[in-house]
Amino acid sequence: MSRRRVRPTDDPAVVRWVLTALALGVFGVLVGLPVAVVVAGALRHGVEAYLRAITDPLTVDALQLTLLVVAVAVPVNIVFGVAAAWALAKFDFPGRAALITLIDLPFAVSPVISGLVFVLLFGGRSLIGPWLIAHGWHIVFAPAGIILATVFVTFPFVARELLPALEAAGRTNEEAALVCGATGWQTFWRVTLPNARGALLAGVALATARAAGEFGAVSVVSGHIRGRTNTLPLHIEILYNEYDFSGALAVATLLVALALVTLAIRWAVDAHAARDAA
Amino acid sequence: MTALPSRSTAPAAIDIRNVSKAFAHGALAAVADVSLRIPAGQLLALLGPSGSGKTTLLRILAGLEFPDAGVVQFDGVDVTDRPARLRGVGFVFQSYALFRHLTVAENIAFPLRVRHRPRNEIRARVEELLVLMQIEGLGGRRVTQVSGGQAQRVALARALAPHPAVLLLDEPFGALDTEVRQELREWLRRLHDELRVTSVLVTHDQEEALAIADLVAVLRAGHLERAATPAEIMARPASAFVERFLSTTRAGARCTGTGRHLEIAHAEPAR
Amino acid sequence: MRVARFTRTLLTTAILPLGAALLGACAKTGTPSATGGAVEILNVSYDPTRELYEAYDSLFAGHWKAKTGQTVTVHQSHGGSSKQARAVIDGLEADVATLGLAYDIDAIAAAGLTDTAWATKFPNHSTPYTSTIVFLVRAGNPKGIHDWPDLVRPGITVITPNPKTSGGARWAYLAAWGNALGRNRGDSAAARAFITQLYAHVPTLDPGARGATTTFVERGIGDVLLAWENEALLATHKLGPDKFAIVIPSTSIRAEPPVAVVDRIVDRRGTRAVAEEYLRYLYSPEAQEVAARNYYRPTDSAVAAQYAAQFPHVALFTIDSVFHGWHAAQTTHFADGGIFDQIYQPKAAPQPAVVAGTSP
Repeated sequence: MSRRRVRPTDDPAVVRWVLTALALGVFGVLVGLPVAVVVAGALRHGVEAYLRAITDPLTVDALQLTLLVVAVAVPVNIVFGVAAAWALAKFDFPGRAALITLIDLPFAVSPVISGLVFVLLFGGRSLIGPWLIAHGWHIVFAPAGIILATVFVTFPFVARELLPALEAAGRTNEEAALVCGATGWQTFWRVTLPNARGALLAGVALATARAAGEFGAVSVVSGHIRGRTNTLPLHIEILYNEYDFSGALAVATLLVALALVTLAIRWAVDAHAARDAA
Repeated sequence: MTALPSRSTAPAAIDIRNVSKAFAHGALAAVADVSLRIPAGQLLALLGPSGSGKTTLLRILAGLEFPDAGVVQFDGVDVTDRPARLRGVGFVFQSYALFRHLTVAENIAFPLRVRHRPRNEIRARVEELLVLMQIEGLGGRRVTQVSGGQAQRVALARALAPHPAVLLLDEPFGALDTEVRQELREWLRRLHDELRVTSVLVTHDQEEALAIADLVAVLRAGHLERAATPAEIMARPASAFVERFLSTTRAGARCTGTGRHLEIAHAEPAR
Repeated sequence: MRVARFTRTLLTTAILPLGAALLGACAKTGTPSATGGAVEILNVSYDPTRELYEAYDSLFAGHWKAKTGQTVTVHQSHGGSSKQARAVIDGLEADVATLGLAYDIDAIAAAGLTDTAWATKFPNHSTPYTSTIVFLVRAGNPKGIHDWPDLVRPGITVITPNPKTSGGARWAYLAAWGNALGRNRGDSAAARAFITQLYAHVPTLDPGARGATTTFVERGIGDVLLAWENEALLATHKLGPDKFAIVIPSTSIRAEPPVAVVDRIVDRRGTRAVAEEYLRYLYSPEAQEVAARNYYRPTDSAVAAQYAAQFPHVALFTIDSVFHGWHAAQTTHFADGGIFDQIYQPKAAPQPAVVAGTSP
């Protein structure tokens, strides 16, 4: 029995227990179980085999490419997302509604199409593709194309998280900053953004996870050149196709680790923000 | 309350001439042709019911709104088109508008940080203000962890930090309970006596206005009904509205106005 | 304030290296170095040759080093044959293409990237190794599948990839059709009926040969896999001969996966010499042994004799003899609206009216 006194507005205990159990159960099955299977499968042939799999040169290349993609795509989307969210929250301009809809476009479109768009734009049969290729600028089937496709599919995350936070924050804090003598930029850096810190970091966490794990769009644009244009998800597919199932799962644990790190950072920031708000 | 500001800016006289402001494309007249003069170092209370335009007028003084017509001058200098950032005013918002992600000390330091003042100057000034506001020891607290009355004083400290020539307060005691309000009201008057910053206080509480202001301006629906010292207003309301508005307080008001003969722009009689 | 300054510093210090990284990522890759130094070439291949080229590439690197003193790195890309051909046309910088069927290399030639007479450049119509289509069944052959007609017995599920995207699937389709023609004295209507029945027994079409193999082998779906012979041998050896068995049908098609140099790329990159030698060396005895060890039928008769035990005799027909070449086969069977589109429908839809068939 719970030691705390039951308040009149509480749901009955049975409701609380059932809902909690349901939530935990769904989470366990959909998230916990697969992660456990991945870890178990990765270690099936022992720790040494696991270490060999994750230090294999092709795996290291894939990891480096994934980290490069994340390191470029996420900051780019932070800048674009913050700019878009800020413009939408603070200004009313013709085309505002259209911009809000366009921001969601990468969600509406299949990732395969997202990748194909770049092949059509910069590939050998496009308008500017042949010129670029002839001058040695490799966009598709090269890391640049992977980065572009990833920027596209992760674009909405930061903007969508930030926009409601900026709208809810209202103008008063910013007016206070202005009256205190802050310029527009100072107000933005010192007041607006820190106020929306939680939402911004939530968006960044989502964008990072998606950038690291994106498969469809990257697969179309990649060229699958081993050691060059294979990200971690693509490399996992390769290992799977070579019947190296525990190797594939071993590399998958790297993605799981990346996701956990992202979540941990986000949790820490949330806890910090909750302390502020308390 | 013994420490005096280490570097003072001379308080400015405020001239408001024929200022008008309307919203919704002219449909909603918030301020209609108001003219008023506030001598340097005086405390003016803008008094009126809600919707009378007093907050809008205050925001016009701050530079947060620009009037449709009219002129605002500080010590004879036309500041009508100058944005808030460059007006050198301190503003205390009704909701205090403290920066939640910063501590008390950082909030107070904010106006000096954005002006890139040297760090030791900032530190000294923050200390000074914490003492002046009687909130020493709260410097390291997050603003979400202080009481309403303390938050109000932090907001005031922040407004005073850059030695403004003008101090503007928007219903500063609105969110507090009566006892605290009374106490803070008197404390604010004493503070004003010491600092002598030209101040404009917006309130709907007639008792408050009469108790602490040197000058009271009564607004109704955007128009200036009457502007005079508290004593004069009590003696001679000069309009039915003002009389009705003040009727509840005539009995117990304490007037602390200086009683000097003040220049008042001609007051519009009740329409 | 701390936070604001942190954000600002982070962004300014991050933008410079990120800009550099992005520029570097865009930068010219694979710059040619035809003189001394190291050279890199890209081999764009089809799905099942992963293990083959992993072995061959190190063999070739040793050979090239001994021959010229130059270090060569061969990069590999694998995928469905047609998908890879499309990628090359779209700008994937392949120095050599080692694909699953001549039609795909013809497409690359048609796009102007290589000489249309590519097939004459190397022996055997530029085919260094061949394979065929066999059946992979569960150990002990519980369903008693011995030949093509067994595939359409009631209750048999057949796994084969999608002929629209997989070269191996097209070979399998043509093998089935050719066999049906043979059994029905050249009656193309009967062959078509057999093919229609066959694909009615296929629950799912994977886009690539390796995907279909994984479906059968790892996910345990299906009674029989129509596979490249090299795939079937690889699966049994790698995953346990006690789990699978190979059934050689009475007749099958001689599957000829050709190779070609992509002229425009090698000329631009200055890698023609190494690319041509890369393909030429596939015909050497050492390379043919690598092919045989990776379950591809070598074209070198001496090596073939050595590995005869691994490659049982099958009565093979070729695409030219039965189908008049790839272009005819593609137009009739695999193009949009061709026979495959007509006979293969998602389960629920009714079969369309049969159009009077032209000869296959």
